Amino acid sequence: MRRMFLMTAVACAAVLFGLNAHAQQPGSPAPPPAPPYGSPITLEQAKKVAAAAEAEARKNNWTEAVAIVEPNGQLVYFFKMDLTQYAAFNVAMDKAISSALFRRPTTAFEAGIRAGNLYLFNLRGMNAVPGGIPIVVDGKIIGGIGASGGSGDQDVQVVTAGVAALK
Amino acid sequence: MRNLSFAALTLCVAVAFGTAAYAQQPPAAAPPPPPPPAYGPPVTIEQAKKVVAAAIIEAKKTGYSFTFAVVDPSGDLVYFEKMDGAPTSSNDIGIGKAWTAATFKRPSKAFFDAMETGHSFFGQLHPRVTASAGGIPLVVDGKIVGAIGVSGGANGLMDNVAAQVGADALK
Repeated sequence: MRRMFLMTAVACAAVLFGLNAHAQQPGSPAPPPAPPYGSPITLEQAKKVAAAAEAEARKNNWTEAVAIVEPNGQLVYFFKMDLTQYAAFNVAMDKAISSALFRRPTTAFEAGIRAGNLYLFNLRGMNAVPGGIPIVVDGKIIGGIGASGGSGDQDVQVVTAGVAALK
Repeated sequence: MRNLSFAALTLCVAVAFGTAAYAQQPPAAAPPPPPPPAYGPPVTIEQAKKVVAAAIIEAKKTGYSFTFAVVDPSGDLVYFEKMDGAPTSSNDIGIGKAWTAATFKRPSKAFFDAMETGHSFFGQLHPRVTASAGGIPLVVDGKIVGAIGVSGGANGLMDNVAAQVGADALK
């Protein structure tokens, strides 16, 4: 009986300590500041990005919808390949807008949520589905791009190939 | 005095009669337009690009900056281009015109004309109705495959010219 009590007490202490230690754990270092906004992406630039993204999707036989927005989230260019699932329009838009408005890829929010930061769900316009990234040229964010229709990894590959066309 | 009463009575009768006649007037018996084409398969990305490429060439002649939206029969966006400097309102308006033309199977100008001639009930058929010219159904092989919507010009009629050129590109 006494032994059991002791064991329970030790277990409790461990749990309390653990929690306490967790609470006091110094936060991970703050990420470097996001690049500033530049002048909004032009139609010419957007077409270049979209063409590269579409080529990447076709090469892999993926059906994708791709949205390209200005820093303020306004749509500049959109395409949806034949037979892409209907949900892809809204998902691609949400990813592009989130990337532009929060100046970070949607995977940053995915990581944050995986780490347990559930407050992220309170951010209006936040999207945590892989496949959205800011479009950065000369160190400035000129817009965001979002792709949807494939798996998260496929969507990421499509938008990455798209933005690479501006470099 | 009697004369005056008589005149007033006559006037009243005339008004009453007039009103009654107006109320009983049968509605104008305009024959309904021929039924619109059936819906076909959704516009392809290749067709959509062709439509916008034609429309943008025409639109650029005006010096204005436009948006171009192509939607499928259900009004879902398939293709979109915004020219640099287009009015920020034109995103929603252009897509709204295309949506209106596709889902009602008629040019958005039909709603403009109806509203302008006093049929304001058209304005409350659906909150997304965009009663301005510039949205035109896309017809391929006699079937509606979607619609194009253009916005950003001086007025709907300017938008409509570019939209029509785009729609004609599929003929």
